[in-house]
Amino acid sequence: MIELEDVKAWYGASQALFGVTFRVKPGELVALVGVNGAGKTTIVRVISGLVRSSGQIRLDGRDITATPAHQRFRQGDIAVVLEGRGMLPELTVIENIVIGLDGRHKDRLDEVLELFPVLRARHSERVSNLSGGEQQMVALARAIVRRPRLLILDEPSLGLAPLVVNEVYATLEKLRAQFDMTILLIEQNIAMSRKVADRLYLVRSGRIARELDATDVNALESLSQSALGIDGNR
Amino acid sequence: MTLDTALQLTIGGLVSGSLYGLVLIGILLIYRVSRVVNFAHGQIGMVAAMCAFFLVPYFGLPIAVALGLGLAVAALVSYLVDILVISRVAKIGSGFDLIATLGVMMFLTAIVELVASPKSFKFFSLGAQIEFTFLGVYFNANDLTVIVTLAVVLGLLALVLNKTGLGLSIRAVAISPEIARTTGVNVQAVRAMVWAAGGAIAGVAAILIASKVTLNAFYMAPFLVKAFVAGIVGGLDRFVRPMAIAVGLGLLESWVVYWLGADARIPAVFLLIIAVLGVLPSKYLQDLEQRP
Repeated sequence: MIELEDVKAWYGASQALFGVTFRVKPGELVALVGVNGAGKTTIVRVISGLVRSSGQIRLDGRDITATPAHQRFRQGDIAVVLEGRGMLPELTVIENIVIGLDGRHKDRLDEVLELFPVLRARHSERVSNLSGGEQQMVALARAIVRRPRLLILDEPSLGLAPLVVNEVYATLEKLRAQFDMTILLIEQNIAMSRKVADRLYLVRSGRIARELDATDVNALESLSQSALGIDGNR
Repeated sequence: MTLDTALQLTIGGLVSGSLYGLVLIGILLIYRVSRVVNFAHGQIGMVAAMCAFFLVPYFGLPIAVALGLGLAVAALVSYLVDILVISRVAKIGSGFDLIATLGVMMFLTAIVELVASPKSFKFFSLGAQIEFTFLGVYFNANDLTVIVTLAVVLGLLALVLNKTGLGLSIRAVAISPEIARTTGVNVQAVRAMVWAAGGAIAGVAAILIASKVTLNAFYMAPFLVKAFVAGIVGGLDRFVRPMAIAVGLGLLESWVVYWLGADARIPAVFLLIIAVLGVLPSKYLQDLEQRP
């Protein structure tokens, strides 16, 4: 599905990624975990075409490294929920969902609003009036309405109450089953990641430091304590 | 002062204010999507008027066709300024875009001076000779055209921005180009379209202004300055407030000229702005500063 090979990235003169290589197979849910500043979000931005990079990014074997950002998303291959949910605060809920579709896929809108009934009820409200959890639903709805083959989620639990985080992850699993999507999940919350992911990659200092199977509980706990400095059960 | 005089001054002020507003619309649109203060805006409009003016005698075109072609040229020039200059300069760093638009302004001025020689011309009257009175107030068709044009342009703009996919994309780019990109919006194409539309609207303003003043390479300068005053005071990333200030400036000028004479027009405008900014609540000024 998506493969990164020897990807390097820069913010101005400052290098942020140093030869990142990994792959996500069709239908998999793979989590990238790591501490703040490890380079996880930069990987999302590189796949999205928002950051200057070298190396190769392949989607279904097709090299998309030089493809402009808007084309990667317009073709419906990729959808991303950016860190902070990527809301357009002055637009309404519906406008945030249908932006960029140019009238296409109107039939899917109803289907998506069935999944998130609260959004149907508040469809004409400015998205800035919604709670963090509701905004996360808008972000997911925007992604799902495009029926992407690859969905990228950058820290979907960030800034949300634990109960809402559980809801978001439950929704994620439901969506994965319903739409047969490949998902790349960026998380600091390793306990949550391992519940939903098939595999995990540890990102450290702009590199992929380690690959782990989500069923390898011992390795994950050891990773949580040694690499991330947290209790893996939390 | 009689009621007729008061109405006459108000109508005159509305006409001037509508012209400032028409100049300002393009400046605001371009600023919203590109975050660029376009100093070349007035001269891009002036190109439309100059083209239209010379197309009639040199190619024997009807005035309406010449005006349409003039607008198309202004749209093309504005589009080219974006894709050839602004989109490249923006990558260098902030501040260079200001220098670039100043450069384009001087370049267009020099070209027009070279081609048209440093002369002034009498533009088409566009209805100024059709005069009538209503409720004791004098009107001409040109004045009415100015007011109606502003209303039509604002109406069309509201329709496009609020009811079309392109309008939604424009609003998204204005809020966050990066997020817009991740929804499949071609930010560069949207910006270029807005620059083209801004150029055409500048052309409309410049053609109407040219029908009231003498056409030369510099006639847009005072109108551009007042449009910028309204934009800066009202906020370049807002719409209703700067437009209201633009129309208000026209009204103010009209009354100042009546009471104090024509020489007092420009000093009065700037004195009022300084006075207003001096007494405005600090919250308003903080609000202006905090906006991106």
